[in-house]
Amino acid sequence: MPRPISIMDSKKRDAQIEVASPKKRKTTQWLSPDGQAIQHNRLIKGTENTTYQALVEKAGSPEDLSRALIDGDPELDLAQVGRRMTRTSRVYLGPQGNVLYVARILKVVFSAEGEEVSREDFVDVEATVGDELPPIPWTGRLMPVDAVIRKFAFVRKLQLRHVNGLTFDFLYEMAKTLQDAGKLMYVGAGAKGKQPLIFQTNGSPFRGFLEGRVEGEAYKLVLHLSNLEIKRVSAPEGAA
Amino acid sequence: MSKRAIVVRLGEEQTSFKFVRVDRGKLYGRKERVILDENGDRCVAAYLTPDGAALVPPGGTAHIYVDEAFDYVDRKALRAIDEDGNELVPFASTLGVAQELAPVRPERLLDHVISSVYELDSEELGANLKQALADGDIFECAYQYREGYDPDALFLLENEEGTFGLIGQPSGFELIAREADVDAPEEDDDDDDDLSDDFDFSMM
Repeated sequence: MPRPISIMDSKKRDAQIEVASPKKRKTTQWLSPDGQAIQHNRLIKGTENTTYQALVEKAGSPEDLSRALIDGDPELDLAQVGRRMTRTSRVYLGPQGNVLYVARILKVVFSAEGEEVSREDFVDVEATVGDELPPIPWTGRLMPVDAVIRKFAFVRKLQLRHVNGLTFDFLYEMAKTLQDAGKLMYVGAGAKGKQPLIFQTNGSPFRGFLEGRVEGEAYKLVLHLSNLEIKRVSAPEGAA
Repeated sequence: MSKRAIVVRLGEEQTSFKFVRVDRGKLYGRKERVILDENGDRCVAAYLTPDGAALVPPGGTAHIYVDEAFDYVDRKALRAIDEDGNELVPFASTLGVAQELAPVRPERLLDHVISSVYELDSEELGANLKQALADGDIFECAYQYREGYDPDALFLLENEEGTFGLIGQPSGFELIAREADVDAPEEDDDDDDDLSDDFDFSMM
């Protein structure tokens, strides 16, 4: 679904337009060998009563559990196994399998080497882009296409679309300006465009690069989003 | 030449690359949301059925395919068809199989959404390809990690860090004219929002 955002042009005029995600890929449908339609189902395989800890506790010891498994099927909760999982609720279980009613949520940071760096109480990170948030400013920071595509992987893209005749002219002009420059423009959130672009609460922050193309009376304005630099993660072969 | 290698051909020359996936965790580290109970012990997520009859812990679910009669169908027996009902023929994995390279302009890369980045180390590198990459050329070929029905594009490029393969899918964005019916966007019965992602406190 397209969603509204605000953006500013080079004349510092802002307008509310909408952004759309890439089209879905062609849908592959699946059939059984005899041509029947197929459904994917998620079923219950085990419950809190059939975990290893619960079974050991019930049997008395691991040895007793071994004997019980040979003698019968204590690992099967026949009243539940095979039930379809629909409209379930997410809950959290403590170490004893107890349902949590009060929880503390932490943010734990790990280094690239896997070491814990810090832990602190989790705090929501608010969106920086949206229809009720300040417009994405025109930074004027133009960068060569060839340099940018070698530095950043564009893992998300949004197409900017007009919502009426006025915003058609507004976006067409932006696209033409960028095409004439032959470059991408770095964009970010905040008054100076230095904050990352975050499209929803606790969403991934991105760097943005705006690309414009025009052809006749049509335009294409795409916001390329990246949260990944194109860098090596291991030493080059032959390096010490 | 390893079977698990990206192999490409430019003219008569064949080049083989070993590859390692580049991801955010390896570059920047990662952030995790941890749930603790009142004693500070770590907790795990589980599912509660709507009738309250079962608590399903991690590992307590099974995924299966069933037909219209709810009979189990083995995944390997499934037949794929396209939207018009035509039977689809699977594409084999491209790993270990030489793929023809074609030079492309940077705009072609911009027209794709990148899903994976691989750092590449050549096992054998053709002289012409080596020179072309050093000159800043970008190449494209087909890529499919395992057998499937919709191969991706692999873009081969070089920067100051080395040689990389970017795996992408077309964005499908088209030019928009003034008279486009912008008030009636395409119906999309998939409610997934492309920007709805798992929590990720990425470091910027």
